[in-house]
Amino acid sequence: MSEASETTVGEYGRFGGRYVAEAIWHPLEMVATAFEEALSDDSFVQEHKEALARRVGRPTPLTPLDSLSDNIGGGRLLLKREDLCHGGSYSANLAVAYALLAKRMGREWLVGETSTGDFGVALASIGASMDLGVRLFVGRADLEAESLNMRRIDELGGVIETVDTSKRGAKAACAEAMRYWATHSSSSLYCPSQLASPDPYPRLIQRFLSSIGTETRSQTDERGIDPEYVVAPIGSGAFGVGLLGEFIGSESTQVVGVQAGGDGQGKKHSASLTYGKPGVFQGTYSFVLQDQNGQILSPSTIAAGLRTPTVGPQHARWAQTGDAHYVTATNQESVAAVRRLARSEGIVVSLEAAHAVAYGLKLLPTLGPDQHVVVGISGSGVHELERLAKLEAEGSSE
Amino acid sequence: MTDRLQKLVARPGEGGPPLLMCAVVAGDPHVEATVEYLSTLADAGADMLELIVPFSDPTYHGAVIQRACERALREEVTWNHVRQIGEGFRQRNDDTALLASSYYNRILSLGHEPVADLLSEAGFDGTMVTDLPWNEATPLREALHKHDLSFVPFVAPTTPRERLEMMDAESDSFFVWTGHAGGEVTLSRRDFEASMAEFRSVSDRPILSSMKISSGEEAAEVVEVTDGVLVGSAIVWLVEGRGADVGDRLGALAGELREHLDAPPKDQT
Repeated sequence: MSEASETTVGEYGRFGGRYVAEAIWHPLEMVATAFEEALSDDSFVQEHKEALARRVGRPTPLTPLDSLSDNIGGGRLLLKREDLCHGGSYSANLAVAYALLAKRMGREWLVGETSTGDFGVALASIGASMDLGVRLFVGRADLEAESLNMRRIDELGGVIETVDTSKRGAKAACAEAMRYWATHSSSSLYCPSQLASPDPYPRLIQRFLSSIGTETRSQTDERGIDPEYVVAPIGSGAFGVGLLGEFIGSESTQVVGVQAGGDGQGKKHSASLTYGKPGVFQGTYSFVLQDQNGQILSPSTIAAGLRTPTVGPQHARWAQTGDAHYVTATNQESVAAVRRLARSEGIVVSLEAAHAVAYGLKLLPTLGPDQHVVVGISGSGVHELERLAKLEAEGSSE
Repeated sequence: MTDRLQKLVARPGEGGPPLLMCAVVAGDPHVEATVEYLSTLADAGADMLELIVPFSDPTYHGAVIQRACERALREEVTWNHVRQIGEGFRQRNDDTALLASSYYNRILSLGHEPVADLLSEAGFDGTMVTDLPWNEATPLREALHKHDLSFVPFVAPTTPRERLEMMDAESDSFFVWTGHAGGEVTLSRRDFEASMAEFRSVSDRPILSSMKISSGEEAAEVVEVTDGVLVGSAIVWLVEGRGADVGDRLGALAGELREHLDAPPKDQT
């Protein structure tokens, strides 16, 4: 290995890096090398492209919401529908890429974490089809709350490792998955769903999810639209980096990431870019919810997929340069957005995606009829219907 | 490197007995007790002590130390507490090396320079940072070196030779071998010996092994191929057990480890 490759770690301004235990440095270096080689191999790039079409169902539609837009007045709303990917979430795009990379590296297992279960289902599906074992670390609270997805993972042959934690969200599961990988790196590929991960994962995830953004761009071009806003929900920010990355630096399009504002009081939330400060967590230097002693604070939101105390380094960078704006939507606004979309357009989106929809709905009245807002839908909300009903019965939103 | 650490680091090369390093978690169960435990371990024969500054998410530590960090967090251990522990220990002991260890975010919360200043003033000899690999550590290393404090690198079964050579060329004190990363030790004895032989072919610096060692016999076996041991979870486990005699039990374990390390090596012929 050359000296240069030892020191080239992905950095985004002052954010990013590879802050990990020594045991994981070299395994990450091997993933970085394999990733770079794969990208320069035309046959891999072609194979990946074909897998996105055949397995994931790309291209996904860009759906104009005429009825809702007419009803609200002002600008026009369009949705980029990753909820229509195989498995009902954008996660399938990433899972396919991990599986192809694992095969290329001669690995037999995919090791990852899942909180909503979407990523777990995607990984287990592709694992089953490509004869790769899948081991998923899941927090106990997530396991209980997402029983349908966990059953799907089980049916698909995925091995679920329960992590003892009473709190929902990927934090504890991420830690366990990485610990496991530290001693099994020669047989398995670590497959984080979180953009806030050590290098090379932030650049790998951005590259493998970039088709969401480039496809959106060509679909808006085809319609002769130059969107005023492109909006994405941001938890750790994998989906967001895939969609928004294409529009960063655009002079005509404003790029917006929506984090979970939780209770809206600035106390219980997952808004690391609004309330956090720079620090190192999950192997990367980014914005982190932390106290004055550097202890990580527990994030809170109704949407498990957004419940993370940190965010991918690209978003930290874009927040700092002003290339993207980061705002919040509350639990209440998000639940209302799910309902509104369901009843006016017949589309049921996840609570994660609903955060971006909620912000998009606020933008519409401020715009004219020739101005367009594209909102990225990261996943379907069908598995959340029971939860929504329960929330309504309780009269609370966590 | 401090004079104190330099003396200890030179010892294995001069044919002296293997090094014993023991770890405790700061503030587990409270700050005053930590000073007592450090002194007890030093009196019973520890050459070096690792003070683990608790972090909310000790990803790479095993369950015992994770639980200890949780207990310690109830004490809200600050860097000022770390200073108090260092100063309190140094009032009683001037020979045993003291290293603070933590996760990088705790260092960043205070800043590289202030951490180095504080550790130096409080009588520490250096630091180990679990999630700060050598390549990312330059700013902290530079701050520490202004005070002659050491940044101790880790070596893992996955560390390739080129990395060992780089760390050996740039480091100043000793290495810590981590045969695990919070999980179970999965390395066979033969692989461990091969790794140590590889290390020895690259570096003359001492290497201490951290492999969930919990008895004198295990320690004696390990130092057949390393220069010492770092015992963490076995010590912290005793603290977890508490009881009035925890000090005695800590002293007894450190004494047992010392005794086995000092015993002449088994005849290998």
